[in-house]
Amino acid sequence: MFTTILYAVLSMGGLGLLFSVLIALANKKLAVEEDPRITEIAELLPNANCGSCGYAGCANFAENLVGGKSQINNCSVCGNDAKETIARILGVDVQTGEHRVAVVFCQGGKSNATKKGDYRGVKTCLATTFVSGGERACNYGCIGYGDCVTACPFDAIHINDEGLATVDRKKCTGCGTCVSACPRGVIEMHPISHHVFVQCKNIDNPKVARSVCKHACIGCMICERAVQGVGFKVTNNLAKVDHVQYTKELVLPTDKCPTKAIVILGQADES
Amino acid sequence: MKKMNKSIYLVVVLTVTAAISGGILAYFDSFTSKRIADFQKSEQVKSVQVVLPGSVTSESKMLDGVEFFIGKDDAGKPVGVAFVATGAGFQSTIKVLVGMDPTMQTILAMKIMEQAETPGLGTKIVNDQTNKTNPGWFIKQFENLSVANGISYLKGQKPSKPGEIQAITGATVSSAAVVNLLNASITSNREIFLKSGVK
Amino acid sequence: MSTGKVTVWKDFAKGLWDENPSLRMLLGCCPTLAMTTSAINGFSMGIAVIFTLICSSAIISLMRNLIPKEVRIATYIIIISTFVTVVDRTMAAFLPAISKAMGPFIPLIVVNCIILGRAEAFASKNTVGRSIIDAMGMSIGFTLTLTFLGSLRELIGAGTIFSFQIMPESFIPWAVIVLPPGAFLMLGLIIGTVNWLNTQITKKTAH
Repeated sequence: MFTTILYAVLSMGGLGLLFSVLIALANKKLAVEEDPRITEIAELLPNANCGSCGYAGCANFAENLVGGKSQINNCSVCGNDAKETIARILGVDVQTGEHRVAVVFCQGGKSNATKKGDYRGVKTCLATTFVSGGERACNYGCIGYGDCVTACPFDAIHINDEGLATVDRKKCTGCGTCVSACPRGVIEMHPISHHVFVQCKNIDNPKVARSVCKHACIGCMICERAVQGVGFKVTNNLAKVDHVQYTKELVLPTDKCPTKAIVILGQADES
Repeated sequence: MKKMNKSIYLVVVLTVTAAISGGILAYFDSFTSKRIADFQKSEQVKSVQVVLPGSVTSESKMLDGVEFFIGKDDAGKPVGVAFVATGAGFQSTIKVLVGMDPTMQTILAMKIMEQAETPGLGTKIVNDQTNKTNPGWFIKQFENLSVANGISYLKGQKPSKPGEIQAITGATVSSAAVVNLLNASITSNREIFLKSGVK
Repeated sequence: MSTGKVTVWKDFAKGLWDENPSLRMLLGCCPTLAMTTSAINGFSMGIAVIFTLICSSAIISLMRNLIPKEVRIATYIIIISTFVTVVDRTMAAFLPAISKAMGPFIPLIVVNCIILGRAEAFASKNTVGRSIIDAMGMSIGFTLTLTFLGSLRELIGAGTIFSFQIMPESFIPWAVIVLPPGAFLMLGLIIGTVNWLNTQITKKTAH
């Protein structure tokens, strides 16, 4: 029996030796020279492969960073600490910008928006744009079937009980994928220090706007008059906040907005 | 230098893993190989006893490259001789263990050892489920069949002459294949066996 | 340690339904189709895979930090084939009838995608404990699927399950079900049913 075992060990070991030498040789001859910094940087990146940097995934972005074809700031998801470490590895300086989050410009959920019918089609926001724009009467509001939710790589946006997309400002990394996914353009990216928003995108005349949603902005200009035109501007029946000019970020311009379209978001944000 | 060590390391890992694997398997084989060999031997003995009814021992003899099993009863008298007949079936190789009398003129019994014919059709040569009382009827036809002048088959009629059997309806090719392989091997083995003078 | 328990159960249960190797990941189709001509065949193949997968995953997980990535595949295959040979020889020695019925499909477990796939995807990156649990879940899911499919095919194709006559005497078996086309048909139907069931479940949980 000992001889059988010896033969088996020798023959198998011999085969293993032969093939591993072949592999080792192939490894040397066919080796691809790769800058070790690429792997180092790739490990520091969030590895969510969201694509907002414009490259095919984090590994690809790391390659291009080392190759000098891209900037660290192109990655909006990266935290400031990671950015500084990457900058050190590359031997460059980096301007750490302000963290941005997504904001949904709509309050037209089930209780607020007028329903125009029953939609029985494919339940994606994009599909409804080919048919009738979904169940809600407002043509500028959130459709509520969650294309943004599917697109978000960080689980930071959800459809709530009202059927409205809501952003978790703590989880949102600012990659912007939801912005591209929304067929209505209801979502915008804003620095985390911005808190006051007119949460509506309806540009129809006041009568129509009022009829489609309880919280629609009707362009009555009460807000603009309250701040004497500094920080709030109404164009096309829709008020918008000018965040550069509006400095009272955690204070509403007035309680008198008749539709309560103006909201404060993210009071608890530390920024 | 670092690359060199990496290469040596991977050679070592693969070689050692392969060697250990070989060792384990060889050691393990010592537990099972005897059982497997024993089992195959007992299977063979059992099968020979089926095709040579009344035999209690079977002795294997190689004659001219063909293995013959000589079965003897408890008195030591030869019951007959068995051998494996192989041939092409409809879609597989059919192996039949054939037991014949010592003069090799009559088939005592036979058993199909291996076949992979069409299930439900060709497999009827082993087990015909449409015949509830006698599912193994095809093989049974060969029992005590006089084959001095070869075997032939009939379709759809009951056999009347010695050496005739009835083929299975819908499985004529498989039935014919069995008949043909039997004819071929009986003729050639008969010559080998009788010439050798073994009893 | 309630979160600990949830992970262990999840690691195990995902192989039974959510990530069932045969029905959702479509791995190991070869034995699934070929070895389900009867319930006992399907069950035996499943048992062989349970043993092989658990042992391979355990050893590979133990060695995961020792194996350099260049020889990863070669080493995994050596380990897997060692266990498969052990299974093959054990079956031939102690269960010769079943071993004969399975034929070449026991040695083919070496290249069964489930084993190599779990080694690559899980065992090479996780602890031994988790790897074993994952292997158990996957292989038991595989066994249940094969036994179920085998029983179905045996029932319709021969009227029996585990050789017990279930169908009445007058039932004429559909031979095509135990032939290769039947394998594809039955597997396809089962996968379709599972997918439909899943959409029903997700609909229910969404509300």
